[in-house]
Amino acid sequence: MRYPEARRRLCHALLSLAILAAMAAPASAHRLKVFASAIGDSIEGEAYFVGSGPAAGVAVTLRDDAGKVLTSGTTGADGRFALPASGTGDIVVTVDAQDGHIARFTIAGSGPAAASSKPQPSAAGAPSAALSPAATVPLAEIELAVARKIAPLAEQVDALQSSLRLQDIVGGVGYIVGLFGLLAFLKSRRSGKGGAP
Amino acid sequence: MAHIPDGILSIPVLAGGAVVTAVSLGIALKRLDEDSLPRVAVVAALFFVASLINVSIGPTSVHLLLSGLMGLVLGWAAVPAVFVGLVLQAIFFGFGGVTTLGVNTMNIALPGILWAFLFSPVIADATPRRAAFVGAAVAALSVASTAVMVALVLTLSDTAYTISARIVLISYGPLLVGEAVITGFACAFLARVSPEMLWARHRRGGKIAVS
Repeated sequence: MRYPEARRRLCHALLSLAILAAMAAPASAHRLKVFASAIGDSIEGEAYFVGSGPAAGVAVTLRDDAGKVLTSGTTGADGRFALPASGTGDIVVTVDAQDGHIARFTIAGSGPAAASSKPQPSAAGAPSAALSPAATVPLAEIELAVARKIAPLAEQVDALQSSLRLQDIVGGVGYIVGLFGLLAFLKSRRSGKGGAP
Repeated sequence: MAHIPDGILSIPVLAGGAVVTAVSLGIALKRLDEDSLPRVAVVAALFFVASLINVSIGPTSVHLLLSGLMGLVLGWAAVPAVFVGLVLQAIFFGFGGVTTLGVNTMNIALPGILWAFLFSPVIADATPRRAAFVGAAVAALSVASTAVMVALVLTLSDTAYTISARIVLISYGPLLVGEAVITGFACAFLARVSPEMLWARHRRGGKIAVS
């Protein structure tokens, strides 16, 4: 008598959970993220909360790999920022919402130096000019243009990887049901062995 | 907010949180009886889903915690419910770190349990209207306590870290009100439909009565 009642209630609860999960799917989640790339002599990027849009007015700090602060600023209303940066090592971008939300992103390689220092030896030597006599555009300019074109794409890939998916949410609920089911099974076996009815 | 990621807290704070969570998990699992397992599972799933729904407020974003409601309905069993939810969120979505699981579970679960325990004499046999007000108070106090604990944990880890009181206030303020309203309605509903869910546990020495 009481078990069918409990089961019916459980079914209702799970059903409403599933509906809630379905509603939650498009806009959801909780995590501050930052993505940045080196474009010319500046670091440009975007800070956002996964699923709930841009993080506006959040402090951004650029540090070199030794931890020394290079530049700092804040994000705009759309969560984007562009800060000048010079140096050859890795650059660590930190955004801090000042309430416990912190995100870091490391721009690997030599950061902005890749665009500004690499072309210099080739510009000094003849080979690069000799290889492309028709090209009047300097290599540095091309690299800059390519970096600008690629940045949003890399950003999209990064955002896609951390987006919240319905199947993950439903899977999580499934895990919870399974886990507690297992626990109930183990407990009932133990009490069964003990001789309890 | 309550999902503190990896790499922010210091080792002693992480260890402290892990010990507190391990001990309370032990207590909770020992007290857990078979009959209450489905209820714990449903509330754990509710927490898992509800804390994924996110609203941005100014420079930050908030989500529901439901810690007051969990404390009222589950008591100690809120600890495993929160822990399981946080483990899954960390694995699936990267919300909150793996090393910070202990600290995060402590910050979310314990205030709810504490305030629900303190208010349990008031909510016993309460009318739906009174249950709503008590539930709202428990929820608001739990959220405020969680905010204080998060701030404390961050400050203990790094004294140089500055918590912006303004940002904490504008992010936790609306959350506090939202939680109070939702928990108030939930408690009024429970008091009408199955009042034993709100208080029976406190009368029967930690066991949840099955209707």
